[in-house]
Amino acid sequence: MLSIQHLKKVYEGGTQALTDVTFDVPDGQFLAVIGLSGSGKSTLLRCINRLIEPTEGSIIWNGQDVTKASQEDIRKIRRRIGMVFQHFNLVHRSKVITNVLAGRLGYVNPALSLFNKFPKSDMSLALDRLDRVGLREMAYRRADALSGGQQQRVGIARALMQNPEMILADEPVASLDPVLAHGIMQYLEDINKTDGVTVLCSLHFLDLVHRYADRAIALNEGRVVFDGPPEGIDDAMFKEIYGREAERVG
Amino acid sequence: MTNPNTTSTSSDSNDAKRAGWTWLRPLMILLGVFAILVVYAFAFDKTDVDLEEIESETRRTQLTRIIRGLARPNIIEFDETEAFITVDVAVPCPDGGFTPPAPDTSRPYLEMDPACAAPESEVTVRGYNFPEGTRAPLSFIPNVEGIRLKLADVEADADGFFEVVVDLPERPDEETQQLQITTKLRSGNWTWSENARITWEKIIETVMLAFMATTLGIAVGIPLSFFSARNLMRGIRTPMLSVALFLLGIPAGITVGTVFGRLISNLAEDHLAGSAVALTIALAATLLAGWLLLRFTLSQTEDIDRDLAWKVTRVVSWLGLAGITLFAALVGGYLLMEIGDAVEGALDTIWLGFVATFLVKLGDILSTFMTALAAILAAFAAAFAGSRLGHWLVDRLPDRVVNPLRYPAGAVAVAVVALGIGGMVNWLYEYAGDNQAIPATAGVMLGALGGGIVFGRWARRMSQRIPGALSSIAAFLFGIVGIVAGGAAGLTLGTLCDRLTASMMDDASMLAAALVGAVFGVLLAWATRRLDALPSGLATYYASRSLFNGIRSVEPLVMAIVFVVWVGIGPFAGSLALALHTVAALAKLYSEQVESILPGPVEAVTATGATRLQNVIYAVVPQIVPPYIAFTLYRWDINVRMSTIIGFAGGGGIGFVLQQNMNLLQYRDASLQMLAIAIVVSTLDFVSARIRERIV
Repeated sequence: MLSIQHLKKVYEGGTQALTDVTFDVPDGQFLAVIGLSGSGKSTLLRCINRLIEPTEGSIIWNGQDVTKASQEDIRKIRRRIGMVFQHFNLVHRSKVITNVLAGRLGYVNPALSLFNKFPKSDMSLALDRLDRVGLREMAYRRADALSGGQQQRVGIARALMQNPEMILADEPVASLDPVLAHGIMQYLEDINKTDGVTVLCSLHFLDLVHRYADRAIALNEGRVVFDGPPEGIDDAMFKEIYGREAERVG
Repeated sequence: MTNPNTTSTSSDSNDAKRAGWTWLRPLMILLGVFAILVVYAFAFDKTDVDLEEIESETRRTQLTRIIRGLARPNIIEFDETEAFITVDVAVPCPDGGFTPPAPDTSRPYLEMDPACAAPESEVTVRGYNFPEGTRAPLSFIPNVEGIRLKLADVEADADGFFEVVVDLPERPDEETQQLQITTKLRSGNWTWSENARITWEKIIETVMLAFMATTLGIAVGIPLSFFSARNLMRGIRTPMLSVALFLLGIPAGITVGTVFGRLISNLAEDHLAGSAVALTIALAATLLAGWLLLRFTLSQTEDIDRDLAWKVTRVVSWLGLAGITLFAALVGGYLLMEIGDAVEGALDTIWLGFVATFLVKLGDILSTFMTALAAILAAFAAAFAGSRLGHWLVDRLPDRVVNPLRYPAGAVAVAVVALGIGGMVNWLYEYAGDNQAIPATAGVMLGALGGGIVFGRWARRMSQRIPGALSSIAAFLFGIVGIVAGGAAGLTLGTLCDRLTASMMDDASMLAAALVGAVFGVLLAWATRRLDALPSGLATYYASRSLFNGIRSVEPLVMAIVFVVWVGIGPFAGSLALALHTVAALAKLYSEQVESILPGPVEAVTATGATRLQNVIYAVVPQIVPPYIAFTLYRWDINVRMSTIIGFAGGGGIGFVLQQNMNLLQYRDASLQMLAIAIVVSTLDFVSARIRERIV
């Protein structure tokens, strides 16, 4: 159970990215976060694993306040939260398998991992995860030799290496074409339904929200303007979220 | 609008501005041209541009000589045999006339016309069949042992013929005398000239000097470069308690490390050194113990939360491992010396004697510097352990305990820094712990730093209201005011503290310095009371940046002079000087590469729960390998070129010979050395280009 209360983030320049954001996410839910670019979606997701330090408010996850966790504790929290990024964020010059194994860094012996040594169990786990996203043959290729869709699947395999209880996906399909987008979303759906992993996913296209999400939260200028089932986003609500001049596409 | 971000109002005002510029523009260009003209005139004056010197005839001939000398590098010599071609002559003519013996016309020969003549008369001498272009002296050989009188220099034409008119000397003799040409004939075999041999030796020395300097520079520069990369350091913040324990850990670590180093050094020297068997057994035992401990330490995973006892066990086993490693290095060092001595004779027979010497020297270095090494490692370990302990305490203790603790912690932390400054002043100026300059210097430095930061921050906050360039100038001036004011306050404080401690006991200036530090520490703790943690990363960033800039601004030539004083004339001094410069230069170049990496992978690896060090290894290092290699090769190239200059200051390498030859006006010799440098530099350029293609 993830519970976000009165979350506020003000950047150093004075930009207020989040204002009094409050919502709960029950375990196993597929939650879509929607809103315009700059509405605070990325900031919200990054506050949850404290890649960005929130200014005020609390984030309670499994009974622990993430915002108050120490350096060591936050590492332990992060390793249970997988993250998938819009630009995949793979290390281009490393092999695919190294990128996937990086998902294990929070668990392994730090001294050994500095020499690129991972336990055998982790190696076979990495190959299993790659198998699950259909890229086992690519394991020893360089990451930048892969296409965009393949790179995002490696990103998902990396998140799966963490044995996550929750996955934060920050516009995972915004850099991909519609066909690939559905492919990636289906992996996330499978992880959500089969493994019971909570998924928080920011999305641009409403049809993807309708197709995959159990519930949607809409942000506008850092405030929650909608919280409910995706079907609840009618035309009036749409204009509320995206502004008066917006028109629906897709 | 082509740029969708530009709103219509601002672009309108831009257009208006541009319209206002139209009539000013030519005027500004004219002014600019005039300004450039003035600057050039000034530069001409300052650089003493003098065309009359260029016109001078003597300077031209000298220049020609240099250029011609440089065009003919002295690289090979031909074996030459001296040949004497002689013709008998009669001076004066005997009564019956004189006919010389008939010459062998298949070989070079001479004739005098007429064949006999009176002393001091004019004769014509002709030569035939000489090698084309032969230059040689023509001499008159009287019948006196060891005397030859040079008459002229001759040069044979394309047919091997010459003709020269000379005056005979006043050497009348009744016996026949001789005219002789002394030629040097190339016998066909060539050998490398002495100069070529010296050049070869020295260019090898130069390349190796550059190699040593570069590798040493990389080894130190790479780890340091991460500390001066803003993007890595920005996020690091440390609670005051951690800073204090970190700084306290340094002297504590040095003390413990020195004691430990001396202990194992004495142990090894008294009981093991000199006996290869004992050394081997000790090394094997140490390595075995180390390996077992390593296996134990590495078998611990972080899968589950561990209790305090486990953490203590881990720290203790790492410390044990470090101690064992040091001891193994020491014993290994002694063993290397034994091995080196033993195999030197055998290796010498196959020209590998230098490998044995290397082993001995390596062993010597390991055993000599063991105490220093132990002290440094222990200082690092203690400092980081202190920092971790601080974090741990801050996380666990309640705020009402931690907050008051900031003040003593700050006092201790800055006191340690002040003691460091004071200790340095004490040593530099030989004050023997009794001079108010010790606390005063500490006070001025800390005060100026603090004043600069505080005033700078105020200025920045205020300057947001003043527009444009004016605000930066104002902020800069304000910062300087802060530095001066802080320095003055520090000076006063230092003097006061010295009076105070001097009234209580003798030679207490160091105590006064600590007191000054403590006062500043309390001030620091008060000033940062609202912050959870201090921006220690940024502080490290600025400190290392300034250090590198300082080192880089000292020319390697100057460093070479210092090192020549320290370790003597030779390539070792040169490689140390270049290494130091390389560290500073590479650390700067490297760190800028770290700053330009993609932030995405770093973010992704952080999100998996990786530690900072893991993040560097997995997300940063793969991104910086190509530029690091490129810069390393570039630096090697620079070092080869610089090591030619280093020789000018006695730092070894080819520069020494080159400078000598230039000074002795031996341009043909110098030419070969310049050629050798050019060849090495371009080879390196080619090789590095190929390597870069491979890896990027």
